[in-house]
Amino acid sequence: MKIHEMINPKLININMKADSKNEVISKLIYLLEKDGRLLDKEQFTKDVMEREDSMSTNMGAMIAIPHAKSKAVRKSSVVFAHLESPVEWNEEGKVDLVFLLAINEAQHNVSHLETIATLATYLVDDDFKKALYDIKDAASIVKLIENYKGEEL
Amino acid sequence: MKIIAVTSCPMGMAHTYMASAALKRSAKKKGYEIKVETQGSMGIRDKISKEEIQNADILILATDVATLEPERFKDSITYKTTTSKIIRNADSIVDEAINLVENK
Repeated sequence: MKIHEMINPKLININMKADSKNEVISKLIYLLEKDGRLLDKEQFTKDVMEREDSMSTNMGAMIAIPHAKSKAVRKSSVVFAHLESPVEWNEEGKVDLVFLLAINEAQHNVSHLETIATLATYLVDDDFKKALYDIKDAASIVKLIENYKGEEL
Repeated sequence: MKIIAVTSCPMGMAHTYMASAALKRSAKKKGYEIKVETQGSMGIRDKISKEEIQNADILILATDVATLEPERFKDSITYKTTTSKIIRNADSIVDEAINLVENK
């Protein structure tokens, strides 16, 4: 999968320490900001939080996928954290794997959307999740996502 | 047993495609034929044909926003659910949908 434009080791924290959902989101957004992927951090944070209020992004099985299409995104990106210990995401329980999807609203880039859709299918695949848990360095997470061949569905 | 399904969600980015994959995986495991149409940010993908609708035993409708071209399915036996429920527990959704047909 061609995902190198959207993720790199700097957008991954495989041992994030956080006590709350808000802290996780804020730390993930900080990674995006630091890597020059946002135009407006405050606006993007607002867009993500609004999205959180409209529909649960707790997907069960310990995974959350907060996401927003936003004018405040410079480059569409995926940022990932494996939490040191699970945090309460919402009334639907705890999570310890979090993918934040930041999509540039203006540039309707079908290949980026396809990448996100493919990644979404991996996240209901137990083998992929197990690999996410086992990997201990950011570069290998990027390689996993790039090279993963899921079961043909 | 032939299943057709449609998935969609407000952003059309994650839930739509996770639910589609979860349904396919579950149906495959249980030995059912399945076709899933996604109505997401890339528009309609894997569109279900008239013939597939006619041949299907059950429609699993997991559209969290208004279904596109819903008139196609007006005669289908329909099990209505949500993408979140499928993502969390596709196996029981598939079982419940199949029960609906078998009890008709």
